[in-house]
Amino acid sequence: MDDWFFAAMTSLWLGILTSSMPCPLATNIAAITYISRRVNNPRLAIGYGALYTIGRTVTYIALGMLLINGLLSIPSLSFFLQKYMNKLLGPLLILAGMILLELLQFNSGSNRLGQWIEKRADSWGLWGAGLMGVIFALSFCPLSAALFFTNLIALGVQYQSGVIFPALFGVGTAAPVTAFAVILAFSAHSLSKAYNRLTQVEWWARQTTGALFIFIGVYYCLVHIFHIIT
Amino acid sequence: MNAKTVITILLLAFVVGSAAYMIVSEMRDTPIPAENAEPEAAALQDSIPSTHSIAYYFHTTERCMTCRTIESYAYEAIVTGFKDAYDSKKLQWKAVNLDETENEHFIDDYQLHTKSVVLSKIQDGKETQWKNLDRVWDLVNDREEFIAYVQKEAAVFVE
Repeated sequence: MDDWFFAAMTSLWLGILTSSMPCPLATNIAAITYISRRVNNPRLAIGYGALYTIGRTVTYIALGMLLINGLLSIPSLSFFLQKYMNKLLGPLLILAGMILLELLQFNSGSNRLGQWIEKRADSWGLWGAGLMGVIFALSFCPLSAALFFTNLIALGVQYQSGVIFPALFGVGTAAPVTAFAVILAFSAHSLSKAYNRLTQVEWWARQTTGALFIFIGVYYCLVHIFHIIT
Repeated sequence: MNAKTVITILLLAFVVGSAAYMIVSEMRDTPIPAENAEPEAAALQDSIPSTHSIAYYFHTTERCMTCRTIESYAYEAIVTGFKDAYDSKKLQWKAVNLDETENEHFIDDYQLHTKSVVLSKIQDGKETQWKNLDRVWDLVNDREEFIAYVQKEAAVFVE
Protein backbone atom coordinates (compact mmCIF):
# COMPACT_ATOMS: atom_id res chain seq x y z
CA MET A 1 0.00 0.00 0.00
CA ASP A 2 2.87 2.36 0.89
CA ASP A 3 4.54 1.57 -2.43
CA TRP A 4 1.28 2.15 -4.28
CA PHE A 5 0.75 5.48 -2.52
CA PHE A 6 4.32 6.54 -3.32
CA ALA A 7 3.79 5.57 -6.99
CA ALA A 8 0.51 7.54 -7.04
CA MET A 9 2.23 10.64 -5.65
CA THR A 10 5.01 10.15 -8.20
CA SER A 11 2.36 10.20 -10.96
CA LEU A 12 1.01 13.50 -9.63
CA TRP A 13 4.54 14.89 -9.37
CA LEU A 14 5.35 13.82 -12.96
CA GLY A 15 2.29 15.80 -14.09
CA ILE A 16 3.34 18.90 -12.16
CA LEU A 17 6.88 18.51 -13.52
CA THR A 18 5.51 18.30 -17.07
CA SER A 19 3.49 21.50 -16.66
CA SER A 20 6.43 23.39 -15.18
CA MET A 21 8.85 22.63 -18.03
CA PRO A 22 9.54 25.17 -20.79
CA CYS A 23 8.13 23.09 -23.64
CA PRO A 24 4.41 23.32 -22.71
CA LEU A 25 4.84 26.98 -21.71
CA ALA A 26 3.05 28.37 -24.77
CA THR A 27 0.00 26.15 -24.31
CA ASN A 28 -0.04 26.89 -20.56
CA ILE A 29 -0.17 30.62 -21.31
CA ALA A 30 -2.97 30.06 -23.83
CA ALA A 31 -4.92 28.03 -21.27
CA ILE A 32 -4.41 30.58 -18.49
CA THR A 33 -5.56 33.52 -20.60
CA TYR A 34 -8.55 31.58 -21.98
CA ILE A 35 -9.71 30.55 -18.52
CA SER A 36 -9.09 33.88 -16.83
CA ARG A 37 -10.87 35.94 -19.49
CA ARG A 38 -14.09 35.38 -17.53
CA VAL A 39 -12.94 37.96 -15.02
CA ASN A 40 -16.48 39.10 -14.32
CA ASN A 41 -17.50 35.74 -12.94
CA PRO A 42 -15.06 33.88 -10.66
CA ARG A 43 -17.42 30.89 -10.50
CA LEU A 44 -17.36 30.56 -14.27
CA ALA A 45 -13.55 30.96 -14.31
CA ILE A 46 -13.30 28.10 -11.81
CA GLY A 47 -15.72 26.10 -13.97
CA TYR A 48 -13.45 26.71 -16.98
CA GLY A 49 -10.46 25.56 -14.92
CA ALA A 50 -12.30 22.45 -13.74
CA LEU A 51 -13.35 21.49 -17.27
CA TYR A 52 -9.83 22.12 -18.57
CA THR A 53 -8.51 19.76 -15.86
CA ILE A 54 -11.20 17.18 -16.66
CA GLY A 55 -10.35 17.40 -20.39
CA ARG A 56 -6.68 16.70 -19.71
CA THR A 57 -7.41 13.98 -17.13
CA VAL A 58 -9.90 12.10 -19.33
CA THR A 59 -7.41 12.16 -22.21
CA TYR A 60 -4.58 10.71 -20.12
CA ILE A 61 -6.93 8.07 -18.65
CA ALA A 62 -8.00 7.04 -22.17
CA LEU A 63 -4.37 6.85 -23.34
CA GLY A 64 -3.30 5.08 -20.15
CA MET A 65 -6.02 2.43 -20.45
CA LEU A 66 -5.26 1.79 -24.12
CA LEU A 67 -1.51 1.56 -23.52
CA ILE A 68 -1.46 -0.31 -20.22
CA ASN A 69 -3.88 -2.92 -21.55
CA GLY A 70 -1.67 -3.29 -24.61
CA LEU A 71 -4.32 -2.16 -27.09
CA LEU A 72 -1.99 0.35 -28.73
CA SER A 73 1.74 0.35 -29.37
CA ILE A 74 3.50 2.94 -27.19
CA PRO A 75 6.25 3.85 -29.70
CA SER A 76 3.97 4.42 -32.68
CA LEU A 77 1.33 6.36 -30.69
CA SER A 78 3.96 8.50 -28.98
CA PHE A 79 5.67 9.50 -32.24
CA PHE A 80 2.35 9.97 -34.05
CA LEU A 81 1.05 12.40 -31.39
CA GLN A 82 4.38 14.28 -31.13
CA LYS A 83 4.54 14.67 -34.90
CA TYR A 84 0.97 15.51 -35.89
CA MET A 85 -0.79 17.10 -32.90
CA ASN A 86 1.70 19.97 -32.63
CA LYS A 87 1.36 20.60 -36.37
CA LEU A 88 -2.45 20.78 -36.10
CA LEU A 89 -2.34 22.93 -32.97
CA GLY A 90 -0.92 26.01 -34.76
CA PRO A 91 -3.74 26.52 -37.31
CA LEU A 92 -6.34 25.53 -34.66
CA LEU A 93 -5.11 28.19 -32.21
CA ILE A 94 -5.08 30.87 -34.92
CA LEU A 95 -8.70 30.05 -35.85
CA ALA A 96 -9.74 30.02 -32.17
CA GLY A 97 -8.02 33.39 -31.64
CA MET A 98 -9.80 34.82 -34.68
CA ILE A 99 -13.15 33.70 -33.26
CA LEU A 100 -12.33 35.30 -29.87
CA LEU A 101 -11.39 38.57 -31.60
CA GLU A 102 -14.57 38.29 -33.68
CA LEU A 103 -12.56 38.32 -36.89
CA LEU A 104 -14.54 35.22 -37.80
CA GLN A 105 -18.23 35.39 -37.07
CA PHE A 106 -20.94 32.81 -37.52
CA ASN A 107 -23.83 35.26 -37.49
CA SER A 108 -25.19 35.78 -40.99
CA GLY A 109 -28.57 37.52 -40.76
CA SER A 110 -31.39 35.07 -41.24
CA ASN A 111 -29.05 32.07 -41.32
CA ARG A 112 -30.59 29.73 -38.72
CA LEU A 113 -27.35 27.84 -38.16
CA GLY A 114 -25.53 31.12 -37.47
CA GLN A 115 -28.15 32.21 -34.95
CA TRP A 116 -28.11 28.81 -33.29
CA ILE A 117 -24.31 28.91 -32.96
CA GLU A 118 -24.39 32.42 -31.53
CA LYS A 119 -27.01 31.52 -28.89
CA ARG A 120 -24.83 28.70 -27.63
CA ALA A 121 -21.49 30.52 -27.80
CA ASP A 122 -21.34 31.04 -24.03
CA SER A 123 -21.91 27.44 -23.07
CA TRP A 124 -19.51 26.39 -25.85
CA GLY A 125 -16.92 28.65 -24.22
CA LEU A 126 -17.23 26.48 -21.13
CA TRP A 127 -17.00 23.23 -23.10
CA GLY A 128 -14.25 24.84 -25.14
CA ALA A 129 -12.09 24.78 -22.00
CA GLY A 130 -12.65 21.01 -21.78
CA LEU A 131 -11.86 20.56 -25.47
CA MET A 132 -8.75 22.68 -25.04
CA GLY A 133 -7.67 20.36 -22.20
CA VAL A 134 -8.08 17.34 -24.51
CA ILE A 135 -6.18 18.93 -27.43
CA PHE A 136 -3.35 20.32 -25.29
CA ALA A 137 -2.98 16.97 -23.49
CA LEU A 138 -2.58 15.20 -26.83
CA SER A 139 0.05 17.70 -28.00
CA PHE A 140 3.09 15.98 -26.55
CA CYS A 141 6.51 17.58 -26.74
CA PRO A 142 9.62 15.36 -26.40
CA LEU A 143 9.88 15.96 -22.66
CA SER A 144 6.21 15.37 -21.80
CA ALA A 145 6.32 12.27 -24.04
CA ALA A 146 9.33 10.98 -22.10
CA LEU A 147 7.60 11.55 -18.74
CA PHE A 148 4.22 10.13 -19.80
CA PHE A 149 5.09 7.29 -22.17
CA THR A 150 8.22 6.14 -20.35
CA ASN A 151 7.88 6.91 -16.63
CA LEU A 152 4.12 7.08 -16.05
CA ILE A 153 3.14 4.13 -18.25
CA ALA A 154 5.90 2.05 -16.62
CA LEU A 155 4.37 2.83 -13.20
CA GLY A 156 0.88 2.07 -14.52
CA VAL A 157 2.00 -1.30 -15.89
CA GLN A 158 3.85 -2.17 -12.67
CA TYR A 159 0.82 -1.41 -10.46
CA GLN A 160 -1.82 -2.27 -13.11
CA SER A 161 -3.30 1.20 -12.73
CA GLY A 162 -4.68 2.40 -16.04
CA VAL A 163 -7.02 4.95 -14.48
CA ILE A 164 -5.78 6.42 -11.19
CA PHE A 165 -2.15 7.08 -12.13
CA PRO A 166 -2.95 8.71 -15.51
CA ALA A 167 -5.74 10.70 -13.77
CA LEU A 168 -3.30 12.00 -11.15
CA PHE A 169 -0.84 12.83 -13.92
CA GLY A 170 -3.62 14.80 -15.69
CA VAL A 171 -4.51 16.70 -12.52
CA GLY A 172 -0.81 17.47 -12.04
CA THR A 173 -0.39 18.82 -15.59
CA ALA A 174 -3.40 21.11 -15.17
CA ALA A 175 -2.94 22.12 -11.51
CA PRO A 176 -0.62 25.12 -11.91
CA VAL A 177 -2.71 26.49 -14.80
CA THR A 178 -5.97 26.11 -12.91
CA ALA A 179 -4.56 27.53 -9.69
CA PHE A 180 -3.11 30.55 -11.48
CA ALA A 181 -6.37 31.11 -13.38
CA VAL A 182 -8.44 31.06 -10.19
CA ILE A 183 -6.12 33.53 -8.46
CA LEU A 184 -6.12 35.75 -11.52
CA ALA A 185 -9.90 35.58 -11.91
CA PHE A 186 -10.46 36.58 -8.28
CA SER A 187 -7.91 39.37 -8.25
CA ALA A 188 -9.11 40.75 -11.58
CA HIS A 189 -12.69 40.65 -10.27
CA SER A 190 -11.77 42.64 -7.17
CA LEU A 191 -9.75 45.09 -9.26
CA SER A 192 -12.48 45.60 -11.79
CA LYS A 193 -15.04 46.05 -9.00
CA ALA A 194 -12.80 48.58 -7.30
CA TYR A 195 -12.52 50.61 -10.46
CA ASN A 196 -16.08 49.90 -11.55
CA ARG A 197 -14.83 49.05 -15.01
CA LEU A 198 -15.99 45.50 -15.39
CA THR A 199 -16.96 45.80 -19.04
CA GLN A 200 -13.61 47.24 -20.09
CA VAL A 201 -11.68 44.59 -18.15
CA GLU A 202 -13.78 41.89 -19.82
CA TRP A 203 -13.21 43.41 -23.25
CA TRP A 204 -9.46 43.64 -22.75
CA ALA A 205 -9.29 40.10 -21.36
CA ARG A 206 -11.03 38.79 -24.46
CA GLN A 207 -8.80 40.77 -26.84
CA THR A 208 -5.65 39.67 -25.01
CA THR A 209 -6.75 36.03 -25.11
CA GLY A 210 -7.54 36.20 -28.85
CA ALA A 211 -4.27 37.97 -29.68
CA LEU A 212 -2.25 35.48 -27.58
CA PHE A 213 -3.96 32.52 -29.25
CA ILE A 214 -3.02 33.91 -32.67
CA PHE A 215 0.56 34.68 -31.57
CA ILE A 216 1.03 31.19 -30.07
CA GLY A 217 -0.64 29.61 -33.13
CA VAL A 218 1.75 31.42 -35.50
CA TYR A 219 4.66 30.36 -33.25
CA TYR A 220 3.54 26.71 -33.39
CA CYS A 221 3.24 26.88 -37.21
CA LEU A 222 6.76 28.35 -37.52
CA VAL A 223 8.22 25.70 -35.20
CA HIS A 224 6.32 22.56 -36.14
CA ILE A 225 5.22 23.09 -39.75
CA PHE A 226 7.79 25.41 -41.33
CA HIS A 227 10.70 24.47 -38.99
CA ILE A 228 11.89 28.10 -39.08
CA ILE A 229 12.27 28.38 -35.30
CA THR A 230 13.80 25.56 -33.28
CA MET B 1 -11.23 47.47 -47.17
CA ASN B 2 -10.67 48.16 -43.47
CA ALA B 3 -7.82 46.93 -41.25
CA LYS B 4 -9.96 44.21 -39.65
CA THR B 5 -10.76 42.66 -43.04
CA VAL B 6 -7.10 42.80 -44.10
CA ILE B 7 -5.95 41.07 -40.88
CA THR B 8 -8.66 38.43 -41.28
CA ILE B 9 -7.62 37.70 -44.87
CA LEU B 10 -3.92 37.56 -43.95
CA LEU B 11 -4.52 35.20 -41.03
CA LEU B 12 -6.79 32.93 -43.07
CA ALA B 13 -4.18 32.88 -45.85
CA PHE B 14 -1.53 31.91 -43.27
CA VAL B 15 -3.73 29.09 -41.93
CA VAL B 16 -4.48 27.76 -45.44
CA GLY B 17 -0.79 28.13 -46.42
CA SER B 18 0.32 26.24 -43.29
CA ALA B 19 -2.15 23.43 -43.96
CA ALA B 20 -1.06 23.19 -47.61
CA TYR B 21 2.64 23.20 -46.67
CA MET B 22 2.02 20.50 -44.06
CA ILE B 23 0.24 18.26 -46.59
CA VAL B 24 2.84 18.81 -49.32
CA SER B 25 5.76 18.08 -46.93
CA GLU B 26 4.07 14.88 -45.79
CA MET B 27 3.63 13.75 -49.40
CA ARG B 28 7.22 14.71 -50.28
CA ASP B 29 8.73 12.56 -47.50
CA THR B 30 10.01 9.73 -49.68
CA PRO B 31 12.75 7.25 -48.81
CA ILE B 32 16.29 8.40 -49.57
CA PRO B 33 17.88 5.97 -52.08
CA ALA B 34 20.51 3.90 -50.33
CA GLU B 35 22.64 3.04 -53.44
CA ASN B 36 24.86 6.13 -53.20
CA ALA B 37 25.65 5.45 -49.58
CA GLU B 38 26.66 1.84 -50.12
CA PRO B 39 30.26 2.18 -51.45
CA GLU B 40 31.15 4.57 -48.63
CA ALA B 41 29.49 2.32 -46.06
CA ALA B 42 31.36 -0.71 -47.42
CA ALA B 43 34.68 1.14 -47.22
CA LEU B 44 33.98 2.17 -43.65
CA GLN B 45 32.92 -1.36 -42.77
CA ASP B 46 36.47 -2.64 -43.48
CA SER B 47 37.97 -0.44 -40.80
CA ILE B 48 35.42 -1.30 -38.10
CA PRO B 49 36.42 -3.99 -35.57
CA SER B 50 34.21 -7.12 -35.68
CA THR B 51 33.22 -6.45 -32.08
CA HIS B 52 32.20 -2.87 -31.57
CA SER B 53 29.54 -0.75 -29.92
CA ILE B 54 27.41 2.12 -31.18
CA ALA B 55 26.03 5.00 -29.14
CA TYR B 56 22.96 6.17 -31.02
CA TYR B 57 21.23 9.47 -30.56
CA PHE B 58 17.76 9.23 -32.08
CA HIS B 59 16.07 12.49 -33.02
CA THR B 60 13.44 13.81 -35.41
CA THR B 61 13.61 16.65 -37.93
CA GLU B 62 12.31 19.00 -35.24
CA ARG B 63 15.15 19.70 -32.82
CA CYS B 64 14.10 21.17 -29.47
CA MET B 65 16.59 22.91 -27.15
CA THR B 66 16.51 20.18 -24.49
CA CYS B 67 16.97 17.56 -27.21
CA ARG B 68 20.08 19.36 -28.49
CA THR B 69 21.44 19.49 -24.94
CA ILE B 70 20.92 15.74 -24.55
CA GLU B 71 22.72 15.13 -27.85
CA SER B 72 25.64 17.36 -26.96
CA TYR B 73 26.11 15.94 -23.42
CA ALA B 74 25.85 12.35 -24.65
CA TYR B 75 28.36 13.00 -27.46
CA GLU B 76 30.72 14.67 -25.00
CA ALA B 77 30.40 11.71 -22.62
CA ILE B 78 31.34 9.24 -25.36
CA VAL B 79 34.17 11.20 -26.97
CA THR B 80 35.87 12.37 -23.79
CA GLY B 81 35.28 9.25 -21.71
CA PHE B 82 36.34 6.66 -24.31
CA LYS B 83 38.87 8.44 -26.50
CA ASP B 84 40.85 5.33 -27.48
CA ALA B 85 37.76 3.24 -28.21
CA TYR B 86 36.23 6.13 -30.16
CA ASP B 87 39.39 6.70 -32.25
CA SER B 88 39.71 2.98 -33.04
CA LYS B 89 35.95 2.76 -33.89
CA LYS B 90 35.36 0.24 -31.13
CA LEU B 91 32.80 2.74 -29.88
CA GLN B 92 31.03 4.81 -32.48
CA TRP B 93 28.65 7.75 -32.30
CA LYS B 94 25.66 7.90 -34.64
CA ALA B 95 22.95 10.56 -34.71
CA VAL B 96 19.93 9.13 -36.52
CA ASN B 97 16.89 11.03 -37.81
CA LEU B 98 13.81 8.89 -37.18
CA ASP B 99 11.75 10.93 -39.64
CA GLU B 100 13.75 9.41 -42.50
CA THR B 101 11.89 6.37 -43.78
CA GLU B 102 14.87 4.01 -43.72
CA ASN B 103 15.36 4.73 -40.00
CA GLU B 104 11.76 4.20 -38.88
CA HIS B 105 12.47 0.58 -37.93
CA PHE B 106 14.58 1.80 -34.98
CA ILE B 107 11.35 2.98 -33.26
CA ASP B 108 10.13 -0.62 -32.97
CA ASP B 109 13.58 -2.18 -32.66
CA TYR B 110 14.40 -0.19 -29.52
CA GLN B 111 10.82 0.60 -28.39
CA LEU B 112 11.52 4.34 -28.57
CA HIS B 113 8.99 6.81 -27.16
CA THR B 114 10.80 10.06 -27.87
CA LYS B 115 14.31 11.39 -28.62
CA SER B 116 16.62 8.82 -27.03
CA VAL B 117 20.18 7.66 -26.43
CA VAL B 118 20.66 3.93 -27.06
CA LEU B 119 23.77 1.80 -26.70
CA SER B 120 24.16 -1.22 -28.95
CA LYS B 121 26.85 -3.95 -29.03
CA ILE B 122 27.67 -5.73 -32.30
CA GLN B 123 29.60 -8.99 -32.41
CA ASP B 124 30.44 -10.50 -35.81
CA GLY B 125 27.76 -8.46 -37.52
CA LYS B 126 25.01 -9.31 -35.03
CA GLU B 127 23.59 -7.15 -32.28
CA THR B 128 24.07 -9.00 -29.00
CA GLN B 129 23.05 -6.37 -26.47
CA TRP B 130 21.35 -2.99 -26.36
CA LYS B 131 20.11 -0.52 -23.76
CA ASN B 132 17.95 2.59 -23.95
CA LEU B 133 19.42 5.15 -21.54
CA ASP B 134 16.03 6.39 -20.39
CA ARG B 135 17.38 8.47 -17.49
CA VAL B 136 18.82 11.06 -19.87
CA TRP B 137 15.61 13.10 -19.62
CA ASP B 138 15.76 13.09 -15.81
CA LEU B 139 19.41 14.15 -15.73
CA VAL B 140 19.50 16.72 -18.52
CA ASN B 141 19.60 19.61 -16.04
CA ASP B 142 22.74 18.25 -14.36
CA ARG B 143 25.57 18.04 -16.90
CA GLU B 144 28.07 16.24 -14.67
CA GLU B 145 25.61 13.63 -13.48
CA PHE B 146 24.34 13.15 -17.05
CA ILE B 147 27.86 12.54 -18.39
CA ALA B 148 28.72 10.21 -15.49
CA TYR B 149 25.52 8.20 -16.16
CA VAL B 150 26.21 7.82 -19.90
CA GLN B 151 29.86 6.91 -19.28
CA LYS B 152 28.97 4.34 -16.62
CA GLU B 153 26.49 2.64 -18.97
CA ALA B 154 28.80 2.87 -22.00
CA ALA B 155 31.68 1.31 -20.04
CA VAL B 156 29.70 -1.96 -19.88
CA PHE B 157 29.45 -1.97 -23.69
CA VAL B 158 33.11 -1.14 -24.30
CA GLU B 159 34.52 -3.88 -22.05
